[in-house]
Amino acid sequence: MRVECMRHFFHDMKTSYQTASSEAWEPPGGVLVWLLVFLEVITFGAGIITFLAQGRDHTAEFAAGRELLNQPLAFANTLLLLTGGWCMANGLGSLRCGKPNQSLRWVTAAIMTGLVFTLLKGIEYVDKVQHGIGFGRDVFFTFYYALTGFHLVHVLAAVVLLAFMARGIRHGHYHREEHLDVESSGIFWHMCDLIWLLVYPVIYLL
Amino acid sequence: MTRANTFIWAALMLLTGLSFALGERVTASRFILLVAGVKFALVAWQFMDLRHAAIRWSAGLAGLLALILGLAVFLA
Repeated sequence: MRVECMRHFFHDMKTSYQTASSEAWEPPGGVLVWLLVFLEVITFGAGIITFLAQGRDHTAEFAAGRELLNQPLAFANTLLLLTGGWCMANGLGSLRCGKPNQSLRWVTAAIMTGLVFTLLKGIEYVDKVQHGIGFGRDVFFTFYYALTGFHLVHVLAAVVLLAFMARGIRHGHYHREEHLDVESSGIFWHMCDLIWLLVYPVIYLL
Repeated sequence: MTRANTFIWAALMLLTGLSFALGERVTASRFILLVAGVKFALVAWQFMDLRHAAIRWSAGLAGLLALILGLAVFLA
């Protein structure tokens, strides 16, 4: 009897230790989405480094290319993405506090910033194409379209994800106790901010 | 809405404005990259809740950021 009791005691000890370790190990949103964040930062980081290395060989071409970029539009887009990140962080905070209606308003605001970002990026691309500046014009614009276009695809995917989350919050699927999907989608959304924070200065400002 | 989120958002707005203002100066490239790194860290720490995760996640992301920015500063 005493041996059985001790066995249960050690089993409970082991289980509680494993649970605590798992919680400490798991980042917000879960491990998988964070692995994706690391992979995306590595991919875009490699792209940025290659872009800068090419810039050393094509100095005049890169300087001329930057002159043709729409700086105020890129600046506005940066402010938009950061504001979207703030909205999403507040949306998740509201959901954790048991305020789904408030959370829905914040998440909807984040979606709106993503849509306006896409619209402004579209305006930028159309303007470039109308001036005969396409993907294969030179090395600078090949990287410009590749890096910003790939980032735009991520923003659009994040907008779709957040739209699903907003629908889930509205229908009561996500609430104070159940919000891991919203958390993971939020991490994906913020990842778009992280990537843009590296892409923006390297392409537009340096 | 938390006060910390709003404070970080305001700081991010100010830093973005600073980068944009300095973008015209050729000599400011290192500073612009440093500001980008600070903004990256603020978003990860506050908005992505990395402050509540095990230190290895923050350390991993910080190491990756340092590697990318280090190479960027070298090449810029």
